Amino acid sequence: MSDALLDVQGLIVTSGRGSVVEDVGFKVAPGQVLGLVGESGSGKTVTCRAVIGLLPAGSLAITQGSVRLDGQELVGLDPLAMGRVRGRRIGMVFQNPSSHLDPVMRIGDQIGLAVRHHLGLSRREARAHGIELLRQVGIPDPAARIDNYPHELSGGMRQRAMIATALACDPQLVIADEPTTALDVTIQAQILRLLLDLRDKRGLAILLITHDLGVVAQTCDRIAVMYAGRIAEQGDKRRVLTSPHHPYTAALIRCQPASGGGQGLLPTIPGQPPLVGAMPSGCRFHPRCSRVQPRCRELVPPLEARCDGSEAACLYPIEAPVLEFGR
Amino acid sequence: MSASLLEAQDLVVQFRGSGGTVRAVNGVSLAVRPGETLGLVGESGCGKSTLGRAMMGLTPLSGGSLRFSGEAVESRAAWAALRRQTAMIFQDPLNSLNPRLTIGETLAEVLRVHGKVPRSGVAARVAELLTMVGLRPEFAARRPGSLSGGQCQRVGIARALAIEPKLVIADECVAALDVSIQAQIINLLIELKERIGLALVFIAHDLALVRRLCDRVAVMYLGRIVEEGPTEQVFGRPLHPYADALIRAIPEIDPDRPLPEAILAGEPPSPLRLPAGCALHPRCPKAFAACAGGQPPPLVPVEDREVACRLYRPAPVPA
Repeated sequence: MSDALLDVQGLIVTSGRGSVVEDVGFKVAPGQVLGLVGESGSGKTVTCRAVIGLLPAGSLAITQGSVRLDGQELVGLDPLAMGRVRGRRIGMVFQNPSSHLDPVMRIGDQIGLAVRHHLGLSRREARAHGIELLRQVGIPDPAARIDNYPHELSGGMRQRAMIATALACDPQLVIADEPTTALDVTIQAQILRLLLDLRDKRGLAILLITHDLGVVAQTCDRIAVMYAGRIAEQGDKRRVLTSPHHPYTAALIRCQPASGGGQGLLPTIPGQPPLVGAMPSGCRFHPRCSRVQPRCRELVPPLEARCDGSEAACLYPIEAPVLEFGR
Repeated sequence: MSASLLEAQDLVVQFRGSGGTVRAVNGVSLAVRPGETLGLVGESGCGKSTLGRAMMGLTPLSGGSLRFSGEAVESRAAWAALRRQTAMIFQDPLNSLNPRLTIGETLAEVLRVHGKVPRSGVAARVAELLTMVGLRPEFAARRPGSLSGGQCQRVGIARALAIEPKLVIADECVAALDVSIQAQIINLLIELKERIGLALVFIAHDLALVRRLCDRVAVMYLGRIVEEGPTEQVFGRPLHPYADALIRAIPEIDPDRPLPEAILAGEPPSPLRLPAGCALHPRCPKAFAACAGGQPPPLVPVEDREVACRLYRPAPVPA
């Protein structure tokens, strides 16, 4: 994939206690949806914040690696230049729209701010643009809604408004960090459908961060699974979900109950994810792994390509397809 | 159903606000039998948490009545008896524990207040409770701050079990946990259910978990139960259009199943201004003229369950 829009390589983010993100690399092509999956503390949100240059100053910093957007290196870019990329070429959708929309600013003004700053539109043009965007994200009666404050909208409508602000400057890439976690399932399906429609219409690349494998299965083209700051496995969605090579991926898929039913105890992953500063040696998953071997405690497994095109970071990867669908 | 452990009749809970009165629970009748796990599902704002709290007397009732073990819960003594035998597990495991008490002190307090064991036996019972939820007895000396989310939730369950309850109400007790930890807690609940015959009301929005854990399920929409019946039957063939939409919207880890087309249009209306007739009719794909007027459809027996929808006629009562 030489035509990747976003190309992250060897990214290392460290805090005072150790590395939070270690040697993470992935690519997103235009029109593609990459799902970054992991449990809390796996480093998925830190990775996306590193990409957009929004790491909390003083506590977290990129110490190595590169982030390229359409060929341009973003790591080490001065804040002013980064500000021209963020919002203009990369749009962001966060988990909680209520805390990422300004509560004392009308929806239209929030969209207008971005387009007037980045695109130099006039006040009147910005308003027309805002109404058009709200219409595109499926908000009924956009000409009236544009003068609403965020609290006057429902949760689903607020998330649509935030997607509109993310799209305001016609970005190439949208980073969506748990965009549907705070929403109900029937609304979640509507918002995911909207993101996919926008991808089709505008050729957007989407980096979707989520803990929900079900969401990933229905929306993404590719998946990267993170565990304890590293990528455990990545590849085509279908291959990763139906024949995972990394024991962590396989266990994660198995321990989620299928809506199709099933009786008795669920398979579990014993123990809990490690904390930053107390990472196990060797493979970070080895204390919880059912296939652990002595070598796993010493050697850090590199992310290696498997014959089916997936990449897995495991010394003893699973080879046979282990999961069946179509229940 | 005389064998019910807890029986709610026409429960109403209303909250008065500046914008008007919200009936969060609007005439709900529900029964929990001994040893049974009942799932209470619905979207946010449908009243499932309020119903759970009302069943324990944590929220004052505006109408309706409760019966516990066959006795009407009216007098102070009856309420006290209900509370001595029911316990609650909360959503946020960390915030529901006192950060200044050790785990042992938290559990000992419950044992002492309820007088469950003599003073000399408290330490042993604390160790026993911790073992029961899969924690080592040494955890008694630790404080909540040094525990992970999953461990805190285990303590929350141990605290609920400390009073030897007949009924536990678990309100979204795994929603804040990671998937791998979530499975551990669900397994713990399945084990406890089998081992000590605990009756459980499991309030959750995650339907796949409910299907795994519960014997019966009640689906709520805007303060009312719209469908209630045996879990396998309801999930296998939901009758009410809302239950159907909710079950079909579950994101499934199946790469071949595409994103479901929007099943329900729009969003739930404000509970302050409920539509006339069936509350679902503005969003319902199967709505017809009669749905838009009159009283909301009552919950009537249909086949092996109860459904509140005008599409269905009540099953004939066997003579």
